[in-house]
Amino acid sequence: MSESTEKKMVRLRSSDGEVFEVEESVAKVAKTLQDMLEEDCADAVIPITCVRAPILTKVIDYCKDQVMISSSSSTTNNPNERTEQERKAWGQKFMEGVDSSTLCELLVASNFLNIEGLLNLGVDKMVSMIQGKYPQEIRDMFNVVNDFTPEEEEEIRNQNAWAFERDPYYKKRSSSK
Amino acid sequence: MEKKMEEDEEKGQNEIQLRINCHKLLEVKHDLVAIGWAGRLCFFSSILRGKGSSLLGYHQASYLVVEILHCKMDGETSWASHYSDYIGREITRVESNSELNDDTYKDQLVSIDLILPDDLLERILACLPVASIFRAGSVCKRWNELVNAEKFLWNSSNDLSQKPWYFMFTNSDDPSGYAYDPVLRKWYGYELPCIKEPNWIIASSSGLVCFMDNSSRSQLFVSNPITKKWKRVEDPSGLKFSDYSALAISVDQKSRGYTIAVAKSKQVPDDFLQWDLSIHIYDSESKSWVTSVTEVLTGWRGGDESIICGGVFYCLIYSTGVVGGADNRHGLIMYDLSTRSSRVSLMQSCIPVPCSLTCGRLMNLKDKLVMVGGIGKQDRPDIIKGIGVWMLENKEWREVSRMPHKCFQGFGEFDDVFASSGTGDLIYIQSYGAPALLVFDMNQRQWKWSQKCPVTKRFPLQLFTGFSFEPRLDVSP
Repeated sequence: MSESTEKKMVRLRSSDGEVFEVEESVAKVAKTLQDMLEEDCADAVIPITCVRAPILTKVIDYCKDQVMISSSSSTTNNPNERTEQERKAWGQKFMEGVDSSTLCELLVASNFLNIEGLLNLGVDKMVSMIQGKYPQEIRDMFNVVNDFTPEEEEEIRNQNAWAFERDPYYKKRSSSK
Repeated sequence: MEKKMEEDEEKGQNEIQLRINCHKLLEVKHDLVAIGWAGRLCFFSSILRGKGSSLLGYHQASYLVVEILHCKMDGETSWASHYSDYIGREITRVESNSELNDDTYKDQLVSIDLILPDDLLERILACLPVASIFRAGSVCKRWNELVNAEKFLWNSSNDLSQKPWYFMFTNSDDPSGYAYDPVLRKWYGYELPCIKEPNWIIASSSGLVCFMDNSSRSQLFVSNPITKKWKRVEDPSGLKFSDYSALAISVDQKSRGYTIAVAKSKQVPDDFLQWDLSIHIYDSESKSWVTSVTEVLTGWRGGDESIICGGVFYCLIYSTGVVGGADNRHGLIMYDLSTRSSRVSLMQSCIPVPCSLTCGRLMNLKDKLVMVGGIGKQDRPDIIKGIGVWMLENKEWREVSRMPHKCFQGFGEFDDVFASSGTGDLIYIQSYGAPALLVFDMNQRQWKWSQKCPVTKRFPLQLFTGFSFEPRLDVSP
């Protein structure tokens, strides 16, 4: 492969209509797109119908980085090659500052586009956000509606009361009633 | 075509409603008015019929409709079929759910509940530490169903993020105490099932904990301290009253069955030199005890320390002081549980310990036999100068680590007697005299103090001991 041959470009359209032009190798990081491109069933513009533009931007950033690593990994002494630790640090940095609702959309996007690496990063981030939190904190963070009756909730909590010790949110609720 | 247009108008009201909701949910800007196919309409109305539905189902369904419609507009039928599974599922939920209440939907925040499919949410929940799984189960009904599904329990225990806990008894009268979770670095006030006194003999393996009473040594229970499920196992065979009993349990990862082994040791009457040692084995499948081997030891006796590791039962034996010097006061004997031959000589398998030991403990760390013990001073072996960790490799002991001096001193009134227990990657060490708990991580070769236990020593003779176990939801006795 010579450098002079023009790189094949792929156009992706987000759910809100924005069109992104990326190299084919970048798009192919997403297995769903790879399958489509290989089966040649992709149109001029591929609609990514469940992903909004800001999310798609982030996804493309991820894919570009993956291409950068893998394209140079064949050569020895690759400056871009990462150790396990660096990979971890990079992933953390990539997910830094991602809020809960962006994270949800990012998860759906990487699930739909079938990007295992990004999905793993998202799951890890989500786990770190949920673990150690009390139920009400989780509901607030992810906008989940509590559909238990107070009695049902109490019963569930009592089954493993030790896991709910010193829950400040719960006390507040019961004392206000 | 015109007739279809009319139909479209009839449904207009509903369509607008749908559009508003979708717009709120995902900020879909595409114009839904352009949609007019009869097939799609059927689809629409089926969702709108389910209007007596919860917000969740309704939104999720409408979101998926939009998906489909967009795909079709772009001529991507294959994408549409990709989602048909979701839709089928969502519709059922829509129709079975209760009253739609638009007031609950207040802001633009994307809800995890609305957009994450079950498998993805489950994957996230399955990576949580046990305490967080229980908390997640009280967030809402959907999460509760997910964490209580049988399939879920299996996933969670396959995950490597769980680490063994340490249960600390905080007095010698009743078995109350605290459990330490090294992932969240938290102590929980915890009640153990079955056990009545902290001096009972305890063994654990892959989430199951085995308790045996320390007086008659016949009451034997197997339990999962997390699910609180337990079962009494029939009395072990052999001598009713032994001088020493060592207990070990091993869970088979594939079959989920378990094996319990008890080594009983009793002095031969009127003989100071000879001790009877017998090994009794219980299988959860056959539900019965078999006395596998008996042997008379000369100059040695059995004790209460044993472990099953890699299909082999290991047991520490102790010199009775008549034969041998101070250097080999402990020995390790082994018995192969896969052959279970009654014709082996236990004493022939004996491996001396690497140095003069006190409080030697055996543990199974990821199928490697590890021993922790206090290293005695040269001239006074009863006084320990440090604590070492060894691993058995090809029948030779290799020192893995030695407790740093500042940790050793950190125990304060260290009275030579200490408890240690380990599983997975972690070894816990604590002095009987104080609730301080030191953790050694085998992977990182690191010594670290645990978070401070919420209990304080109230009287000088208050004793603290404990044991480690894996917090698992998927194993049952």
